[in-house]
Amino acid sequence: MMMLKDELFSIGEKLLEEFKKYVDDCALLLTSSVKHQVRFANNIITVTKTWIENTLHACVDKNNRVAVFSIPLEKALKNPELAPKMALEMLKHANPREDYAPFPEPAKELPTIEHFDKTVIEKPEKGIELVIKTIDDFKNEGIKRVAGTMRLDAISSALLTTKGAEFFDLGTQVYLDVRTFMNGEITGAFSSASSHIDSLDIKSVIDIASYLAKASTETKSIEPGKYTTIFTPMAFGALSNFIGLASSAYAVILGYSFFVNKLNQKVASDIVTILDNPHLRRGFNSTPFDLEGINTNKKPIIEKGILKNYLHNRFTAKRMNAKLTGNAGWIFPSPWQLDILPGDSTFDEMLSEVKDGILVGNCTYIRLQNYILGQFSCVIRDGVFYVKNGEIKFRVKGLRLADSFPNILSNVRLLSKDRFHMYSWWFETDLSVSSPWVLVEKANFTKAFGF
Amino acid sequence: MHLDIEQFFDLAEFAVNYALEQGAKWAEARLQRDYSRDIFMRNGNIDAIGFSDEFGIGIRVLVNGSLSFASTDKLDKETIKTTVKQAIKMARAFKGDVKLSEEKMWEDRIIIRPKKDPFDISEGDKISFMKQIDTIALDIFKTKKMQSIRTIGLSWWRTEKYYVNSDGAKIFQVIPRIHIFVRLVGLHMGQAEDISFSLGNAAGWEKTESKEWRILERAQEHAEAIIKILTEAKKCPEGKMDVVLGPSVSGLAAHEAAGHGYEADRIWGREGAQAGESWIRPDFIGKKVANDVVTVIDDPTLPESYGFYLYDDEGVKARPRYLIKNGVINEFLHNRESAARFGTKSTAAARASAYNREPIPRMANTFWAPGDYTFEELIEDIKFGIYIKSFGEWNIDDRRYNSIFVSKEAYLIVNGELKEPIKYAVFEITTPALYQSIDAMSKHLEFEAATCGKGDPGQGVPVFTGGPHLRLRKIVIKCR
Repeated sequence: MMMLKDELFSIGEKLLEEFKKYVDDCALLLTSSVKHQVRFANNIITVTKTWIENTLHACVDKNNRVAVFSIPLEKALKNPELAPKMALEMLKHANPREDYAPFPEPAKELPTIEHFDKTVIEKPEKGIELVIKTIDDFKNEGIKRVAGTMRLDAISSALLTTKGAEFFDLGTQVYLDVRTFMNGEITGAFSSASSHIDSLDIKSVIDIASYLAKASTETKSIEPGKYTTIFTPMAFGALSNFIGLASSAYAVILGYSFFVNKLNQKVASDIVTILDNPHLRRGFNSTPFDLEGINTNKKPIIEKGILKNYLHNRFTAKRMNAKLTGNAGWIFPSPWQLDILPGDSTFDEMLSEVKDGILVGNCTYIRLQNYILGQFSCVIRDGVFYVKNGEIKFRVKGLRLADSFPNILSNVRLLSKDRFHMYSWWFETDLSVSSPWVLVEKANFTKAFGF
Repeated sequence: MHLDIEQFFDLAEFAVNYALEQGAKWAEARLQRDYSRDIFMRNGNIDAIGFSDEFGIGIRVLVNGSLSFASTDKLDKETIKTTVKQAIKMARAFKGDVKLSEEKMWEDRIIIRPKKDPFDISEGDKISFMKQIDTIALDIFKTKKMQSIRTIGLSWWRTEKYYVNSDGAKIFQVIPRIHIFVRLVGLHMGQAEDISFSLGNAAGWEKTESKEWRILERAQEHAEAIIKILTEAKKCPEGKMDVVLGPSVSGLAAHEAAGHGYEADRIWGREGAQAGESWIRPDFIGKKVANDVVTVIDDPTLPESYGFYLYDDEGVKARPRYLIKNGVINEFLHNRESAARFGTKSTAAARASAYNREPIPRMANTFWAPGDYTFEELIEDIKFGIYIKSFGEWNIDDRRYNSIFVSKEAYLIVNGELKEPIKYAVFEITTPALYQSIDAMSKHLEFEAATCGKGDPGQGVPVFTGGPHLRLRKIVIKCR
């Protein structure tokens, strides 16, 4: 079902020759994928899904103008000149990009990354078996209902550029994302992601999602205000998705970033180091090359509290007079995968540090009032507890986290030794993250009228 | 109009028949092509032009109560056989409990033709149009010597769908859409403010010239509003007061605090791990939740609306849904699966955003039914309150019970008159408190376009938000 290296290159070379007749430069990304999903709710599998797709994605340059498009590969093969001709027709009316830069010279050598699991292709039903077992395990933990997703994707990609890149990658992506319910309001959640099924940390998903659902069933209101707050790896993973977005140089240019004019300045507490790490062994979104044909690399976004890098493609690098970072995105450069370096605490030690505070299980629906100031609020759920003198006292209702990213980052005081590699539906900029538990001082919470 | 898709109709029928041969109790196939183009302008320059042609077939089978979906973009019989077999193989690997409601099935052909097809308008004309919007905003900022960032995205596309199922449905629908997104950022003395707006219709280029869009005026008004927020806006008052919401805020509230909570798959729990569940329970039909003046309608049949369709993606004929009628919960948004679970009929809410997505209960165009007030009448008896015209930050919990809206453009109301602009009024409220505080709405409806997100993997579907102005009594307002 899936096309592999030789077949994709053969098609790609043919298309590239055709495209060269019309455009100055181009990059072609041919993808062939077979993806599976198992969804469950109320302790039963609700639907399975399978996607079989072969697609051509392209970025073409003509007279310093740029077009991007995607079409089914089959259609491109039937009529290879149609798409570049259409792109030219559209482009002739556009102005040249003032920040135009040609595609870079291709990488001479690509990193070797372990991120392919043949079981995903050979036995996707394994996902159904794992889900059935996971539901049973949660029932045995005393959880009343579980809902979630198991995903198993296999993707082969060939990138060809007119500058001579001819790269192939075969990777797999799997994740298990679970929400636990004791009733509609008493919930927990956790997830695990990897390239390999047997590297999923299902034990932690069961342990932590069960803990968050069961830790206390007593629910009370507390006063809004500033509290010492522990974020689970899932909650901080969701928040850090916006830190990833803010690091894109294009987000900075468009005013979608709280890192505007902050390069090489202090933006977080000294213990915070966040990497863009596309080389994580068995990482969910580990990848060897970017879409302009250079190798990806591991780099700090924030290092010991200092903003070290904006992430670039050829246009943003030209505009900011910076070096390429291996993060293209034909239009929007972005991180591949966030890697938040650990600290030296355990969760229990962190909890014992909280005299009057809150534990937050998950952050969802993060929306910004002002992107440049980083002011936001989000819905907190899946285990929100009041903590007094190191002990969880009760579950809190009606609160909302309403703060700013600069405050949150600057007030990080502890990071756990343990980290968890995860991907979740609520990771709103689609980034997989390795995150520890994180303790933040003076996080601000508000409460709705009516509670 | 002859469309490429028509030559593949027999493949959809083949897929359904082949699925039945392979042991499916029920099967459907949806051949769908979304053919789109877009232009992205930043500060008057084109950063990118793009197009995409998403064309493929989505197949669902029901085998012994197990529902399985599979799709492919390779449209030949052998690949469709492989795709069907894969769906059936997965369905046989677990035991589900899915049933589908009995529905009247139709054969129909609906082709909506725009008055001016955007595909026939030159890209040069489109770029000139975008440039006019950019220039108007730029000039406004320049008058105050303010720097600005202006981004404009214009997209237009045609959705062609051929739907067949083993119950006898055969529906062909062609719907054009056009959409524009404008975001303006003003920069002033180290501060920045942004406002964005979005317009769209199931129509053509004629909308860009329409009074309904009045796009140049809107761009000017939004740039002026940003300047006011940056230079004039005072700290907002706090406390209990009367509040009037403009159509863009009231529309969001209708969509988020009413529409989503009435999606039956959420009520049943199918979206529990993702978009979430609902505070509404199946036995809430007939429950009084709002003042008598409150009626919430979701209507996919509004001509030229952004969320327009006449048959849903399970072949059920669309109609307006009255979610709340005179303050009482009246009906939910159902597809055939949720309707069977609730022992009722589908309300034709099944929508799939692309060929490779499953149809699930969705909104189309959700709004508070209009009242009979003018805007001036709505504010005339307010001694001290605020008017929130547009919002920035907003969110709502997954049970659709606890929402927040933070104002962008907002004004004080004193003794029935609009006064100075105020900054960042926070309106954080439970859904019942919101419903019960509404006491009047304007007679004028004004819609904006939005893309509603739900499903896993995510499905963005076009919807109208908007509606009338709403008046809310004695709401707690805080200041961010």
